This record gives sequence, structure tokens and C-alpha cells, in this order.
Amino acid sequence: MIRDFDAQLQVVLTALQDIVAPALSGADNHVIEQLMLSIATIGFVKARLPEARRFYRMDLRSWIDLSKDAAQIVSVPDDMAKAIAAGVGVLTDPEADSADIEAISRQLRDHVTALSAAAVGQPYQADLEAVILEKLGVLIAQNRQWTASFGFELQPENLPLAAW
Amino acid sequence: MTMGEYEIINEGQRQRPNDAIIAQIRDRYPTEPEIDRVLTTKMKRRQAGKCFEAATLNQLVEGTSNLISDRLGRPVKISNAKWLSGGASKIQMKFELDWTEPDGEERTDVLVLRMEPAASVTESSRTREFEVINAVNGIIPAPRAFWVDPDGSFLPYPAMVYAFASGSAKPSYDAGKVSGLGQNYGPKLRAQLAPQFVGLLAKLHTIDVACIDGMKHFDRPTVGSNQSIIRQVNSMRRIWEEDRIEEEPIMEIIYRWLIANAPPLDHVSIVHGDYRSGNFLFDEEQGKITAWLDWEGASLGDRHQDLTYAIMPSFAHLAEDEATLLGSGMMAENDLYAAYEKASGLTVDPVRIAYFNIYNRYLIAILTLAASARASRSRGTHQDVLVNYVVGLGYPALADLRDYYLGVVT
Repeated sequence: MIRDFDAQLQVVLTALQDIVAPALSGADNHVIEQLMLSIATIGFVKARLPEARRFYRMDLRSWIDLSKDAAQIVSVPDDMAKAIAAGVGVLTDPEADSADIEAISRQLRDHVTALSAAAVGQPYQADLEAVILEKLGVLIAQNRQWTASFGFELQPENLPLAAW
Repeated sequence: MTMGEYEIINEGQRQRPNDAIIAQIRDRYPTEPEIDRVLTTKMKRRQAGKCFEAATLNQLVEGTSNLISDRLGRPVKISNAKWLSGGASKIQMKFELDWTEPDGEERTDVLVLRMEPAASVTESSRTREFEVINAVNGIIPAPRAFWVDPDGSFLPYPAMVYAFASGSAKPSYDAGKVSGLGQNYGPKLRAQLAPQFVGLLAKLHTIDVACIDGMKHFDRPTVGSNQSIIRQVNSMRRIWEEDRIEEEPIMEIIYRWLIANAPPLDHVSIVHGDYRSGNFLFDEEQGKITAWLDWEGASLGDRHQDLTYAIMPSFAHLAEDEATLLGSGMMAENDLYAAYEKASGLTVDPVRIAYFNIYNRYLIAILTLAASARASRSRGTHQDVLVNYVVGLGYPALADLRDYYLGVVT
């Protein structure tokens, strides 16, 4: 079926790997490099596309958790509280699409950073920064797992298992 | 939305900034005038909605010929032009030039045109690159720089012409890495190259900067002051503000720390700024470094910036024992510092090492998660697929930044 994204990507990968790449032997290095990187990038998309919605939901859950932890330390602005509530709502809405999920994660990223900037010189600055650094350590590790196929991990086997 | 004092620009404005936004960012993060000019030019291009427009080889030949003819005041002949691969940020063309020196000497040289795309992983000044290569001429093996087109008057984008340097950036038996990231030279070649790698860094850092007449587009830092480092941190923060795709709160925390803890300079060095595997050429048979490349990030500043950059995990790999991390595929960190102290006569200060380890990790996170991501999304380069791929380094880099920072402050 033409609706099957995986099949569409698979046929492109096969064409690039089996037909185009051998035909380019002897081409300029940068041409071959761009082809190889194109194959790797499409391979990444093929592997992650079916998991994307789950990944975005995990990402949003993490930002909501961090925001709630921050709210335990300092009173958060009304618009941040609304964004937290909207995030919880999106996670319980089976019809919410990935764009909705990503948009709220993005808002919470901005709110947490703004909160951190406003904390400078305040008695709670250290506590807030500690929570941000701790919580984001976990989320960054998940993002590393998400992009591990790019080949930049020294020891990918040591990354935590995917939590999405 | 109350965003606090920190934010200047939103995503829509990042994609199409207006003059007021550009001015606000410049005011908030003051940096060296030439760096300011380069970053402002980037934003102006973006304001105009200009994507990268590919030039043909013939267009580059014509532009290069016009540039050189203008500089020499006489016509020149270019032949055998072809694309040159390598690097993630600049467009390069190799060619032969028949020309006459001002003293009347007729000669034929193999040269390279190095031109910026519309956007780049590292926005930089061709003028500064031209000046620093000339400053190290005769001290560090680097290709002679001949002519520069700083504003793209003759070529589609700013460019410079320098001598072609022979050698390889990657060993023949491990040529699959992107831009030298994690390059493994193997035990034999490593043993030959590592002493040169350290020795040339020591030579670079001990050049007497006060005696250099050129480098007019570099601010001259003052020993005892940290202002030059603060300006450099501001330039990175500015790129983060201009280019990021999404916010990372850790970056704001670490920016504040870098400003608050910037150490005063104890010695002014020429800093290469990208001193690592992949940025030098070597003769594999002789085991000899033949040329240092990619001087675009050079500055006058603190030697610890290069020292810590060379051992960044992003450019390292594990040795055959599966335990020792080899910075730039050369040496373990402490071995490199000890060899450097011996070769340079300069001290390696643990406090500054800690500072610049964070500084460079902050830089790598910005170049990957912000500059590379923005440049490829905006179709700004001649190899968006490569620049986009480099974004994959972003989260390992951010994790490394966070972990190192926590190790220093807790």
C-alpha cells in the first residue's frame, strides 16, 4: 500500500544502496559522502518514524515533570501553569497529534529557561538549577538513545534503554 | 507570555529577523567588531530570505580570475579547476594559476578557493582567516594565503585563495569518519603524529603576538583582564540566541557561569580555535604533518582553549586497551598536557583547564544544536545533509557539557 511509509522509505534506501551507490564509484569524494549521509539519514527516519509519537509524548511528560518540580521551589507564572495544564490535557487526549505535543513541550522549555533566568540572585536559584540539571540529565540521555544511529556515541551500549 | 529578561527573539523572528531584533541581539551580547560584522551579515542574509544558491565551477573560475586580476592589476589564467571535498563548512575549488608576481617572477601554482556558503556551521571572517594564516607563516605549516574577497565582491560569497597543501586528512585505512570526528589513526601513525601535534600547538602558542603587525581584525587582549574571554562567550551566546531550534535551559545556566567565572589572561596566544583531528593534513608514508587547516575560528586569547578543545570527547576515541581516551586520536589528556608544558615552557593551569573544558563543550553544543541545525534547515549550505548530520552530535555534546559542568561545580 502506498500509505505505508516504511515501504516507501525502504524502496528509496534499496535504490540508493544497491543501484546508485555502486554507479558512483570513482565520483568525487564529496558526492559519495553526501550519498552515504543521505542513506544514513533516511535509515534514521525509517527506524524512528513509527516511534515518533511515543517519543514526543515521553519528551512532554519529562518537561511537565520538570515544570512541576520547579513549581515546588518557586511560584510559577500563570502562563506557565496553564502550559503545564495544557500539557497534561494533551497527554490524555487520544486525538492530539504530534504537532500539539511538540508545541507544548516547546513552551515548557521556554518557561523553564525563563524561570531559571529570573532566579538569578534569588535564594532559590541553586535549588532550581539543581533540579533542572538533574531532570534534564535523564531526558538528554533519552535523546542520545534516539539519535544513537548517527554514530557519535563512544559507547552506545552504555546508554539507558529507550523509555518511550 | 512572561519570558523573563533572557529572551530577545522568538522562532518566527529567528527565521526572518528585522533590524530592531538584530540590533537588540548585538547590544545584548557585545563581541569583537569583526565577529559582530560576520554575525550581523548572517542575520541580514536571513532577513532577506536568501538560501544557498549553488554556483557552477565556471562561475567560480570567473570570479576567482576577476579577484586575482584585480589584486595583481593584470590578467591571469586559471586551468584544471575542480571541486575539492573536505570539511563541513566551506566550498572549495582546486585550480592551477599561471601568473606573474609583482617582482616579475612568472610562476604556476596549485591553489584553492575557499568560499563561504549562505549559512555555515561556523560563521567566520575570511579576513581574519587570511590574516592569521599569514601571521603563522614560516612557523606553523599552513598553506600560504594569497588573496581575499572579504565581502563577496568578486565571488558569490566571501572567499579567500590559498596554496594547495598536499597530504591526507584521514588515514587510508579509516576514511569513513565525518570531518575527523573520532578519527582513529592507529598505533603506528599515532606515535609519529602525536609529538608533532603537541609540538606545533606549543609553537603556535608561544608566537610573540606583540611582534605581529598583521591581524588588524583581531582585538588585542590584555594580560590580567578577562574581557576578551567574556566577549568570546558573548559571541557564542549570541549564536545560541540567533540560531537555536529550541531552548535548552542548561545552556542558560552555563552561560551565566562562564561569564561569572571567566579567568583573566596570563599570556596572550594565537589560539587556533579548532585544533583537532581532521583539521591537519599529513603524509601517511612519512608520518609527518604537512599543513594545519581551518584557521577560521582563530583568536587572540588563552592557550587553554586549544588544549581542552584538542581532547574533547567529540574528537576522541578509545585506545586499543578499550579504556584510555585518546584526545584527537593522539594522546590521553594528562600526557598531552605534560608534553605541551615541556614543549612550550608554558604552564597548564588546572583552573583554566576546567573553565575551558566547559567553554568548549558549550561551544560544541551551540555549533551542533543551534548553528548546524539552523543552517541546514534554512537550506543555507552546499551540503545540508552533512551539516544536518552533525546535529546528531548535539545531544552527546550537551550531555558531556552537563556532566562536566556538574563535576566542576559540585
